Amino acid sequence: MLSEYLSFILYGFLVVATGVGAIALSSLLGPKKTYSKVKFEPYECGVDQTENPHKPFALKFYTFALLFILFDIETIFLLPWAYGFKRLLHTGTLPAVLFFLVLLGLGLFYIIKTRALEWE
Amino acid sequence: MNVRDAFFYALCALLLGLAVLTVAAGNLFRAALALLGVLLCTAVLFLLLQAEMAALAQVMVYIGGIMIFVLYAVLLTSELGGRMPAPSPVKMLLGVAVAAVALGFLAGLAQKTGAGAAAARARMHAESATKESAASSADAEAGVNIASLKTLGQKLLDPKGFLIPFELISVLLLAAMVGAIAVARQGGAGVRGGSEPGAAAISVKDQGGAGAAESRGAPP
Amino acid sequence: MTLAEFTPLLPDLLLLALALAVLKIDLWSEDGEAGFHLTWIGLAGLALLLAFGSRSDAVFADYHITAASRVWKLLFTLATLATVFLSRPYFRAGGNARGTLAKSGAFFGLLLLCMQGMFALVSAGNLIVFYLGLELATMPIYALAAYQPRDADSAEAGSKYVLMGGFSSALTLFGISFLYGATGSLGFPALEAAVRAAPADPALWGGIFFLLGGLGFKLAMAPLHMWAPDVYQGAPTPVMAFLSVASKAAAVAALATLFLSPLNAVRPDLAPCFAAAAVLSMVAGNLGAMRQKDLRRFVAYSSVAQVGYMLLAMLGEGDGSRAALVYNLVTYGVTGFALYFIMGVIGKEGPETMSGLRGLSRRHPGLAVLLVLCMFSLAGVPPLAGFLGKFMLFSAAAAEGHYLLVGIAVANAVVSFYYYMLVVKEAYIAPPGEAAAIRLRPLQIMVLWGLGLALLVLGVCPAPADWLARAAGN
Repeated sequence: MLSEYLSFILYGFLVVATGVGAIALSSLLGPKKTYSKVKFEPYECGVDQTENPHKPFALKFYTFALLFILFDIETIFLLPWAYGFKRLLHTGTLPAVLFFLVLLGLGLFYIIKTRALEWE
Repeated sequence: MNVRDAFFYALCALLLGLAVLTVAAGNLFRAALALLGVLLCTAVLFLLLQAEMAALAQVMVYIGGIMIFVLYAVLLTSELGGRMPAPSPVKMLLGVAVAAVALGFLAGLAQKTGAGAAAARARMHAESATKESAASSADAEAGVNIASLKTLGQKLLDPKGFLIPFELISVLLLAAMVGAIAVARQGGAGVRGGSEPGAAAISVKDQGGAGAAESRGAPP
Repeated sequence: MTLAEFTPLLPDLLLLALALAVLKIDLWSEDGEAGFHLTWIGLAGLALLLAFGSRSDAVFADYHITAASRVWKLLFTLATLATVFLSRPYFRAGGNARGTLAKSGAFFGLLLLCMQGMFALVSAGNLIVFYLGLELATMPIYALAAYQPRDADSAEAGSKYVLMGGFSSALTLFGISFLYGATGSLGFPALEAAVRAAPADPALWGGIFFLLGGLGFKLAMAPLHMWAPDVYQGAPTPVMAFLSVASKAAAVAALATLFLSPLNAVRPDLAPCFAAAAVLSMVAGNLGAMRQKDLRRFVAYSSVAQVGYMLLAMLGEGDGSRAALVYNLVTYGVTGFALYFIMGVIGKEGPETMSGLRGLSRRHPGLAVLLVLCMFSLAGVPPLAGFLGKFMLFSAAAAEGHYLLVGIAVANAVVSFYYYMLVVKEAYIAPPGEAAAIRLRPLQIMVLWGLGLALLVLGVCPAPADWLARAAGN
């Protein structure tokens, strides 16, 4: 059972190991710094920092992110169909998939026509 | 304990640790990252259960989409360096109580279900001793992974399976798209340029410049 | 499968086509006029088709077309049609003091898609279709609640409704997963059999607990109603109307779909739960409504109280309850929309608040009379529609011997009379300002006369009630 996904799990493990390993190695092998609290304080012409430099900032990206998620979900539902495409093609399921695709296509058409994808 | 079990327990320990970190981390950004880890572990858990579709959806939608969105929301709303105030002890106690009750209920349920499943297995064994042909067919049925992508593709498009939910999902997604655009564009070019001169003038003022108004002038 | 077999499915398919057409036409028409006309003509056609079209039942796997589902669908269609008419002045420049709504095409398209979800909900033959229908019936309203442009209240209403809706959907889904775990089936017939076989399964009760929680939020049932006043107040008035009539009807239909058929076996055990929720809703709604100055908030609390009355019918026996629920929703819809149209009229010049009603008896005596009829009907005064609706609910509960509960409900109805009369007082007795006489548009006159007549006819003539009872009782 596990062996079916063994390669995938190994792959995931490798990915994580590479990332963690790189950071761990560099901290092991890299030059050691002496840390003190003063060194971490931001320096502004000798004046104490008056406000937090990490500020919330506005992004125009959220419309894209929203629409991306919706199409992401659509992909999820098309994947099982694509996976068994050859077998399913001969079982008369094409109209069902076309209905799904046409509806989503109309959605995409609507999105483009309302200029929601234009970066203003 | 074989490798599979060891892997399962290690995964669960990691998941629980990350889940606690999600709730307990004072920094919102770190909490979001811990949540990402929780979702990833859940995806692997789904794989262990051979629920390919669920694992896939977890990775693609939750980690690939929703988490990005959560991170953006964090960037938009919070002061990244700041720590969140700790919740009041009464609320914490209440949360622990609710979690304990839920845990107790689920544990009781799991025990009962486990006993039921064991009984069913024993029954099947007893039957297989007498009727070998029936047992083999049952085994064949059990061997097919009902949650694999292949079988799911078939079920989704089968009129006797999930065809109608499948088509309904496309309508749902369409509604979500139209709704998302309607809300997202409400603040900016919310007012049609041509039909209402008065309201359009207000929107120009809101944009704070003729240039901005010009680029939004065309009716959506 | 031949084309003829699809005829019972025709209303649902036509509705989808109509929604798509309205969305498309919006892309090319400049002023939204074409979208408005297409929507109301389409909806009127759909209502005729549902009332007089194919009567044959059909089952498409998990999609059941039955006489009862057709009645619900007709109800949703009429409520949406009234909402479309109501929204007309809100899209006109100067049509409403709060500001003009824009993009009528997307608005109508979302309403129609929402209706599609309600259609799926009442035709559901399994839990997945049920859940998707419920979701599709709520999701467009998230956007619609935030439709008032550049309005902080409306944005607040939208975000509150998203949070509450998402939370309640999650609860519902969690409950459904428990039901599936307990019974091993998603289809309603198999579910019914499993529930009857093992009605004391703790997993089943876990599922019912979460389902009731989720649906309770959608229904704005008393302990879970706190979102309603803010959302109703912030949303544009047509959306509030849709929420309080169509969306409420959908939530009631969801409750009835689950608890009057597949989970019917456990309903007697749930009676204390429904009774408690009913009493709480009535009391919370009535006490809350007394102090309101904003008409939309007032409607929210009054509708919470109405949910309390409707929950009484969940105690009754199956067919009678379903008929009583449908009939009460019809009378509530007619009364509610009459009130909302009056709100639309006074909203043209001033805010839609109690004080905006001041001097209505001088500014337009006919409108003031209609307002009085509305309030009497909401309070359940005998010759009007609201009375018969309440009477059917109460008798459904009384038939099962819940006399104490019916007594509490009647006492609550008497209390509610007080605050409904406060509204009448504003229109008749409160000193009027120097507001000009009100001029109505032909569409408004037509609709107001229609609703006024329906208020009277539905109260005295039992024929429609009989017809509904026969159709909905199946």
